[in-house]
Amino acid sequence: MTQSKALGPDPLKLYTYSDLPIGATAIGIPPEKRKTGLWRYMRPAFLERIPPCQEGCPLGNWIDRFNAGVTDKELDQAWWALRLENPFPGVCGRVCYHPCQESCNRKDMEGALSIQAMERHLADHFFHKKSKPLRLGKNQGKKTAVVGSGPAGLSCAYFLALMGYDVTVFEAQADPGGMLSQVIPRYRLPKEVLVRDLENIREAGVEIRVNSPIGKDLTLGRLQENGYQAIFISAGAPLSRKLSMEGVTLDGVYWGVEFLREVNTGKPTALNGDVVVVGGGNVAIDVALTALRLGAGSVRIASLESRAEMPAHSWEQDDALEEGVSFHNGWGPKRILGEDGNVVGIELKRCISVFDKEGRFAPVYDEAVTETFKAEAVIMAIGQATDLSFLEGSGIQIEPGETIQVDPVTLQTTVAEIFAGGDSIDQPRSVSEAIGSGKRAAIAMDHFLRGDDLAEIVQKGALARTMREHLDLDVNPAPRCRKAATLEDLNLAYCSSLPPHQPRKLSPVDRAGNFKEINIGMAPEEITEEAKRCLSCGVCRMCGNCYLFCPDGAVQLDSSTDRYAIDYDYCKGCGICQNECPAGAIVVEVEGVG
Amino acid sequence: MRNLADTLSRSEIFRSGHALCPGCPGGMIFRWITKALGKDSILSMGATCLALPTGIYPSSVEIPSIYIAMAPAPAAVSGISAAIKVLKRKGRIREDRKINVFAISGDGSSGDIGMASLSGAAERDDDGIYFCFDNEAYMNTGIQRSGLTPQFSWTTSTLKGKVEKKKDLPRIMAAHDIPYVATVSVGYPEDFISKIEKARDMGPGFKYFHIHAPCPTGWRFPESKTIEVARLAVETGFWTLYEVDHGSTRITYQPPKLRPVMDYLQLQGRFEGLSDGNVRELQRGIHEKWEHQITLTPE
Repeated sequence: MTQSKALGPDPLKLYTYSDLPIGATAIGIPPEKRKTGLWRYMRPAFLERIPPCQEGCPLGNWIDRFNAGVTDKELDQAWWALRLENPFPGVCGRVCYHPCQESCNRKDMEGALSIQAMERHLADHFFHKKSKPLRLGKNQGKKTAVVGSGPAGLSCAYFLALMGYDVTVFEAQADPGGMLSQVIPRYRLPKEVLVRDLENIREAGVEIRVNSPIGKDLTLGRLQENGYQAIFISAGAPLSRKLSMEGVTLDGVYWGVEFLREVNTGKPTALNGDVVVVGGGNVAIDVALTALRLGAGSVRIASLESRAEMPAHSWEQDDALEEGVSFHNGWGPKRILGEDGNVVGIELKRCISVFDKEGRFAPVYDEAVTETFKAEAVIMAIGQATDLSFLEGSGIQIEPGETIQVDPVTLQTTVAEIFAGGDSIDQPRSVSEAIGSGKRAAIAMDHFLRGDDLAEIVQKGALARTMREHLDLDVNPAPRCRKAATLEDLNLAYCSSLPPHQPRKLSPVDRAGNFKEINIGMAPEEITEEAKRCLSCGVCRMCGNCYLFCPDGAVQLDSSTDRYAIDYDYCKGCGICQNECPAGAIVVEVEGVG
Repeated sequence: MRNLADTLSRSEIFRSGHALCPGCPGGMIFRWITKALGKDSILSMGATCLALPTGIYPSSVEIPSIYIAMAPAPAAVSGISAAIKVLKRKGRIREDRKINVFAISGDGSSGDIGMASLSGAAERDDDGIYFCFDNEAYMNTGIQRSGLTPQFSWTTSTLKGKVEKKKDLPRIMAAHDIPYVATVSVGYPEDFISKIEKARDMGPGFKYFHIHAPCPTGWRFPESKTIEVARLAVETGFWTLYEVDHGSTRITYQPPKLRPVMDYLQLQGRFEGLSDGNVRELQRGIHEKWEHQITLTPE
């Protein structure tokens, strides 16, 4: 007879009741069980989905993971997950336009989660701490080069270094960082934050050579001769787009990007009196707020677009309004007025429509309706331009819009071993898009350098967008569905209504005349509370509902992976686990199909 | 994150492989109760839905249990606890050994057939926990109406809907002045388990639990919706989670805002034939009950 656990010691050898375990009179529990899994016609299975925030992030940041780390107060893990996908946590925590928050499923409930504040909090928390550099691949023994040390270039270099390549970054200027160090105003991105991120990138094994322009003395061909087997070009769009118009050569006319660069690199630029900024993008706002800080009496922004159409983000517009900048929407520049070679004003003409029927930029003006403003300075911030003259003779094709022609997926140029990204290619010009393109190029370059057939990988859709996919680092053994989790996938009965926390800002009074950071961030307690608002869309948070609610005890913790697993010997397929999963990480399919 | 699943015992005293219907709330409550009460427990199992499918070979219940007819399940609790008392007095069981005696029985067994024996055990205040598994009809025998079937509900013996109202058994039991009476729902495991733990750690006496347990088979809803229906019963105010601890009543879960009762009814086939008037009457009943019960709570 099989001895059961419940039976305890052999009852025949016992003589008193006190020796007997409770249940001694039972026959005992037979070891076999009924295989109720045979009843099943629907089959539940764990299948995680991509959270919408990650889908919205140009870098594919591991948001659910670092957010879970913040919620559980395991900041080291959160920091690891953040740095795995983002070489610039401190920078992105401040200047990224956070498309992740735009796609947050909480957005239509009480307001999106402040993911950017989370990122910034982690960067600030580890600011004074030494973090062990990530090293994910063993040394590959291959040399790679990156042209330009902006966000795209350094991102590509960082990820190549993580994968074990030797990387050298060639930077024309004396300071690495590209737009981050030269153009983005300090009140948005303090210098020390950028320096700290650069430190981490250098520690990962990236060598940055400043004052090393590619072109005249050092050509791309020379780099290839010197053994650099793959090159990434991220020369950015360092120039302002110019406009020929009466009066643009007058003293007191500045160009947006160059103006910001002069201020950032410490060239004394003093303004007084009235300033008119022409343009509707984020640079125009940066210019306007910088002009105020340099002593301008009043700042007007004249843009072709209406407030809603302006490319500048609404929160940046709000910042400008708070500081007293006035908007003049629907006006374009007609001519700049001057006296004795100096600017004295600007004449604007009415803009009737900005875009044509196909949505292309094609402004139509009414030349008869004009308005004139007095101005001691006019700053033109009407867009950025690339400078790709150094590529002449390299064989790289340039698009009509003065951008480098690349394969949209692999970012490979018409020269096989040269890749390009950032503002040099035709993509939205933002820091996160630039970092994302650097990462995508690094992954494609890894395949290229291993001798894989890139075209075939792309055709199969197997080119990863994130490091954890590329290097197979996701510790979760469950397969991941390629679809993003929507609000319908979640069980909102388990979601309590929690109001959002907003990052604090410096009051407009305290901002006047200085370049102190406007955004103060959130207190650590607020961050933890904010992190708890995450719905964990599509990603198992180990709440245990599937385990608790399984009537058959078929969902159990797998001790080898520390995750829940379904025992199909006993699962009857009722589907309660799927119905009660708050995160939508379980699916039910008809048994025997697929 | 620590949550209920991590604080409960991971060992399954109620094993997989039972023959309960898919989606049966009985499987969950059996697991939760045995996890909370532990292995040193003795079960008196009345003739409910839960008895046969879990008790036949190979049995799923890994604790000593007595399978008993519908009426005498509470009497078995009295007998077992009396036996333990005697064995302790005689020194055959260590005095400090805590043995939990509990019974599980259906709503018909508790409220109709076994009412006398339940009332008797409560009046004698015998030591044990009694769980009334309220799936609101005689499900085991084929969905016939019981005293605890709600008004207007379809059953195989009330084809046009039950005329009478549901018997309020927990309040009857509270009137016995026993140490602890609690209403629970399978949709609220935290509430459920904290109440079991409270009853388990109390001194000797008769504790009564009334479990609202939606039955996919008898209530005519998809088997994946068991918890959803249970939750909606509480969120609409149709079912109230409260406890009477030594005479003082407390509502343990107050829905933030009562949802219309239709949200609960429309999921279930047994309420398919309800007229608008019926729904209004149920809604009015809920409002009256809530006003009454809230005045019961001193808070």
